[in-house]
Amino acid sequence: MHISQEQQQDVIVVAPRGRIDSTTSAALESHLSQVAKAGVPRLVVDFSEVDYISSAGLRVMLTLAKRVRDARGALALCSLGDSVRQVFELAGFLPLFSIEGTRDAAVRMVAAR
Amino acid sequence: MSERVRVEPPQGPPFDCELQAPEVIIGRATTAGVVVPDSSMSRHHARLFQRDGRWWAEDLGTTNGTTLNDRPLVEATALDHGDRLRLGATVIRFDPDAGGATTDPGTLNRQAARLRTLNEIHRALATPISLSELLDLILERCFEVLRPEEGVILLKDTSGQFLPAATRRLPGKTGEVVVSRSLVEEVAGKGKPALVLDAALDDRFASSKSLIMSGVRSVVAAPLSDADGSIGMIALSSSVNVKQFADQDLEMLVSLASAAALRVRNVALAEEAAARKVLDRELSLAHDIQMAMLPRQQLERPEIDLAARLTPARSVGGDLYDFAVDGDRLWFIIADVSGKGVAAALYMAVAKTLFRASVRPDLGPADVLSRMNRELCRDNDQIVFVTAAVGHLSLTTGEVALGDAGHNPVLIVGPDGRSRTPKVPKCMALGVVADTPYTDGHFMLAAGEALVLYTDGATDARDRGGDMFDLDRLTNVIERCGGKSAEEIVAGISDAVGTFAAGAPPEDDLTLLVIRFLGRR
Repeated sequence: MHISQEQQQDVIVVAPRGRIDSTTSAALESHLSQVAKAGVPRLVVDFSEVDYISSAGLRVMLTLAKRVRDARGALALCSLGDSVRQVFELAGFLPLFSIEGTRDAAVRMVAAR
Repeated sequence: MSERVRVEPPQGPPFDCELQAPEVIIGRATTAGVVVPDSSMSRHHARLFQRDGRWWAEDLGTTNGTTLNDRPLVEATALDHGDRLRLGATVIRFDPDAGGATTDPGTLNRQAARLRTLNEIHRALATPISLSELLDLILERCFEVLRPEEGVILLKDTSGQFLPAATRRLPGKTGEVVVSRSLVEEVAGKGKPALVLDAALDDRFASSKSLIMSGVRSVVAAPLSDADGSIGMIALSSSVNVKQFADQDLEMLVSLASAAALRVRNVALAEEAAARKVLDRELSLAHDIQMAMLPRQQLERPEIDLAARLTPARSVGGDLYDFAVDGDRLWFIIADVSGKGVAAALYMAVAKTLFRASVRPDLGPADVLSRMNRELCRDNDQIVFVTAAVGHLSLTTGEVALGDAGHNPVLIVGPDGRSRTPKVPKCMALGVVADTPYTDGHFMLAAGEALVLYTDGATDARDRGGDMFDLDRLTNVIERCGGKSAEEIVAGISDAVGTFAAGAPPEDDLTLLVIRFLGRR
């Protein structure tokens, strides 16, 4: 899976591309766990290039949220397409994440915390 | 009749080989008679053999082929002195010195010593060992031959990153062996060997502050690559005041690395196959647990027509359904455990046991879900979550109470083929937040209406083009099944999903549970 990454202010923005399913989620998980290793992780996951997320992908996001929470860091998701948003919604996970419409808004929100 | 060939591999200086057997295989496999570290060569590329007092050459049906004096070698051909064979990127000269030209003895000695070392390494690497032992052995040989202060082997992991897999340093040296990103890019990424005499002065790496270690060091690095591309690299380093590597060190390391690469790939593949076997066993165990959990008995009640089917996918094992009659109520559950293998199957077993234990007249579906959730949240380090729909149906009135813990919406289809989605409050999947609330939704089933429950194996099934089956297609199929029996509805959905996927292997379990209320009898 192609994963791009950049830093905006002190926030790391990770943008996976394509499908996050049982085949690709392991690569994303290992990438995110590397990124979340930072002392106090401040992260944004940008979903603008993600077409689909399966329950395996949701698990990766839950694991990341837990890691960030345990380290007292901050995490926001942004730019969820309708179908990706629906998967979070179906599982009842929308209340667990800070979700912003744009990358800039998500970076601002994480930087402010 | 013994003859000599000169082998000129694409990297490193040429070497000579005596043809002592009546038949000699040339290739990159360690089992070949003449082993050449050339990734474009086949494992057993060509055969040289004696017939009628002459030497002949024959290509062994290789992908890249063999040429003789620049013409394709299509059949076994007798060789003349001075003939030139090309195998992959390697040139082989047949009896090159017959014309009288000689090589200077210094070069010959160096080449002979090198050939000896390489052959020793080949032999050492041919013994069956684990990947980590092999990497240690490769570094050990590098230290014997090239005498660096420290060395590291990086291998490509599944996500394509080059990570340290083995390190070695002289006794008394401490600290992490660090390889700069630019060096990894140059050597492992582009497949180019590098000799950096002075880390601080070399143009290519001038911008990077930390080369293999802090301070001014001499570094020699070679890619580990085979026919399928780069799998990693070896880097050796020393302080410049202890040792400065030279061109012949680089050549040596390159030869050694190409011999090592083939072996690393083979051992890694063998270990992968062994790991797959363990995984296969685990998956079949998970499958057995899953199947043992499903209800074995048919439900014989005149008020109800019920059918269910679970089609397991190979890699993901975690769907579940169950039902039980308690007094006037039919209780039912459909659930999907995230994750795979035995862990998922065990969560499924827990979910089913909890469901069974919670089916009591004084509890509603939301109570059952709360109890299951608290239990599943306990010690859930793996963050395995379970989406579930739990409900009960009154066998006298057709009233349904349903709790939705992050599951797909249920559908209802009437005998006229009209479908609807009952309103049920959306609550969180089980196993994530211990104190999250669950709430029931209530609705009625009229006589002849069927409640259709499914897992995302139905909606997320993909065709060859990558399109998903989706809720719309599922609704269409169900509407065509209006008035049919529960079994026919299950078969109708199952067939439609199967036809849609057109033989593509299912990525997720597909579970269907259809409950048709026939009314009071």
